[in-house]
Amino acid sequence: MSLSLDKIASELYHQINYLGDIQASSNAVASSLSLIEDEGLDANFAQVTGELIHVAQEVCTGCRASLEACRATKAVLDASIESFADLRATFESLSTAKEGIEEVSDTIVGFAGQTTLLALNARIEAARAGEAGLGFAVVSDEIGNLAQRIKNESDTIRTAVSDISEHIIRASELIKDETSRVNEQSSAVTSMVTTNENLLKQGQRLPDMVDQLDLFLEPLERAREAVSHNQMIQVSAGNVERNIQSAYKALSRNRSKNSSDTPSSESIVAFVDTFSKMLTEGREAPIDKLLQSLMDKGILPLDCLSAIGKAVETANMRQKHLHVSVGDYYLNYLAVEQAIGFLEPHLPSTPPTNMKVVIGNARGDYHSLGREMVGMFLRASGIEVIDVGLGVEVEKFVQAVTQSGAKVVGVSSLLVESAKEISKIRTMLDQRGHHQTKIVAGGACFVVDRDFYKEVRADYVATSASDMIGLVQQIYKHGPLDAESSQ
Amino acid sequence: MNSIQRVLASLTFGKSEHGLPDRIPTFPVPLMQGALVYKCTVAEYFAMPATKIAEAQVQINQMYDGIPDGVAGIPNVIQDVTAFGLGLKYHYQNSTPAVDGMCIHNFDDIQSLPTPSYEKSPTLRKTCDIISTLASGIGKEKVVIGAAIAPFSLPSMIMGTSKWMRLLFTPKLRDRHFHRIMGICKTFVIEWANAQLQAGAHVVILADGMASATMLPRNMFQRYALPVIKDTIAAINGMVAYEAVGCIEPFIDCFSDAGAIAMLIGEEDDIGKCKQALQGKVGVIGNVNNMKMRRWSPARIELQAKSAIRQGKPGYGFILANQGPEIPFDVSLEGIGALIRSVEKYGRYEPAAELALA
Repeated sequence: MSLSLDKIASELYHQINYLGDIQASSNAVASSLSLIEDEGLDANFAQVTGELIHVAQEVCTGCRASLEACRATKAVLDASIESFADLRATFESLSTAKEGIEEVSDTIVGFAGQTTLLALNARIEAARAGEAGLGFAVVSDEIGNLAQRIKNESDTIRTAVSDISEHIIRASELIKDETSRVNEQSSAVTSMVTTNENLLKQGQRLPDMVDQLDLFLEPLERAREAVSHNQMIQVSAGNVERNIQSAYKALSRNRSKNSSDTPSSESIVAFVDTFSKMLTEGREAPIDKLLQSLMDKGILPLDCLSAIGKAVETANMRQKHLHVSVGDYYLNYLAVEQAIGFLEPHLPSTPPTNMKVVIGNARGDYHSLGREMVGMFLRASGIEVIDVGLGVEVEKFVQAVTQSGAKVVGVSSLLVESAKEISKIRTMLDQRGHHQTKIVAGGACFVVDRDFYKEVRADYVATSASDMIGLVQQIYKHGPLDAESSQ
Repeated sequence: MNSIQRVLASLTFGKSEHGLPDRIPTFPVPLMQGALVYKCTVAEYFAMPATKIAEAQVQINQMYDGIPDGVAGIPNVIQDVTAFGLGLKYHYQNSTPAVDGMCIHNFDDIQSLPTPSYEKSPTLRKTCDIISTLASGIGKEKVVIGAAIAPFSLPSMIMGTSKWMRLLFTPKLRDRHFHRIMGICKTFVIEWANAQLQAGAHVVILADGMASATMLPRNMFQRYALPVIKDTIAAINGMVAYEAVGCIEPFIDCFSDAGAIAMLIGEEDDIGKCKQALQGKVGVIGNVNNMKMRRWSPARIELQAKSAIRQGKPGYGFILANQGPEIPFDVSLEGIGALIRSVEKYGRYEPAAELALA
């Protein structure tokens, strides 16, 4: 018997060590989650991602506008480059015209020179003609003067054309420089267009990228729940550890009572195994027969109760990892109810432990199922339960604490408004000096939103009977958990 | 495309005469928020005449620019117990009422329990008036929504959840009383749902808090709850949406041929997996966490709604809503608006692209 119990204990301790590792990593994750929560980062995250999308949309709008402007500017610059090219072509044709004018001017100067010479010859001939040539001499003089004036004007034209030519050359050089600058600007604008197009593409991707970020939020919620779940497993593991120790104590007690201790101790282990499997699998079993058989072997009723508690704890540990409905737990409840009903007449009037808990449904809440089930499982674990019932006023909870000295109050509520009564219970407990009394919140609204317990100023949340048992045992045996690890 | 056309187009996966939906429809359930319209308490609001309650629901719809595609014609579902002669009590002025007492104290009371009729309850008759007021006005374009507690869950309201569970899980009690109590509840629920449809509701939601995977092991669900659900839906003369008021994903495969046009799923349920299991035969409505909406900022609610839309949008057949039953009274109007407006921001369909995903 001792050998098999040692084997079971060793296996359980082994598993508890693993749970310790899980707990350590859970605590690390919990502290990160707590930081996220304290800083309101998940809410800020929502705000920031929303703003990010908005900014991305603004950036895209800006990019589109900038792109439009750049394209328009580039069109203007390209038009300027074309105009400058036309202008240069025009100036080049002017340069050709200048050469033509110079040629014409040279021709005219040539004509003027020939005309001057002709006028001089005419004057000579007029002088030879004497009196008759006087009139012709006047004409030839005028022709000579005219030729001189033509020459002078031609020189003036040549000078002017030369000046214009110089201006054309300077203007042409300026146009060349300007064309080069406009070309540079055009290249810069082309590069801006490319940059804006890339920016726009990136900006358009941003909302999708933010969408991907959103995906982290859901796992964050789930991680928070998983951490909370793991922490409750750790609490249960602590209880299993204590149960092993108490099983050893029970064995010692039975050894001292029976000379043939081995068979009766084996019977306790066998009962725990059978009953816990029956609870886990929802199978019907002859509970009365099983318990009677234990008692016939001389096992004390209190140890039978302790064995029921161990079976419940073991079943709860197993079921934590499965999808378990309220109905599954209810089958356990019926079995435990039957077992306790059988044992009750044989149990001493004094409770087996000093652990006490006040439980009740808050004012306005008439959903008794959860409270009744939790109450039964607590009793099976040797915890005294003071059940104040349904739709209970704040005063009644506090009175029960005062009268019983319970260190824990469990308040169940399905409805939001009823759940808010917990805050009033806290206030009244403090007013009456019960600062150390811890409140555990339970019920549907705390299952849908586990963090709701903080809003109503409860100390802990329990979403299953095993959570509640674990918390009560923890508070009584080791003092309250710190706030972080209770979540 | 008006709301009725959009909802039909969506829930028939584009196979109705209206073709493909232009966007994801939305059915927020702001039942108690009507009190904000009149600046009174919820208790005072629910006590108002039918026309005033209907008017408040219309105003809430307009407050959000007519984006919500449905209006609720029922103030709450707890009122169904009034047909059994039970009263309603407001323990809190800004909350839904609670049942004042039970009508089955001992299991043997079931044997003498008469089948009630909605006609004997002034509260339920008033609900028919609300529905018919809505149907003759805004109901020409918007879906008017009725609701009833499903037969499998109704016993928990008239005898208490604890007693109902004991009956269900104790073979002797179950053998003696289950069929009798289900018979009574089915007859009543079918009559009551048909009365709402007759009054002008386009769809009736069957709220079945006791039949979810949260409450029942699968074998119990299949053996006791599912046949009742199927029988009830088959006898209702119109469209029925089914709401498990809890986790339903583990049982969702049972609903592809249960007769409901859509399933309202819980916040724990995966929209994509539920849609897949329903094989394009039944739509999905859900599932933004209504309790968390109380403390979430509008931006956070929008994000959650966007996430739901992302999962529900491909292939049609999805309506965005809060998780059932209703939106708590202390959720801000801005928060509700964030949920509603998200369908305009993220739920628009581009027909060709979405069809490819279907």
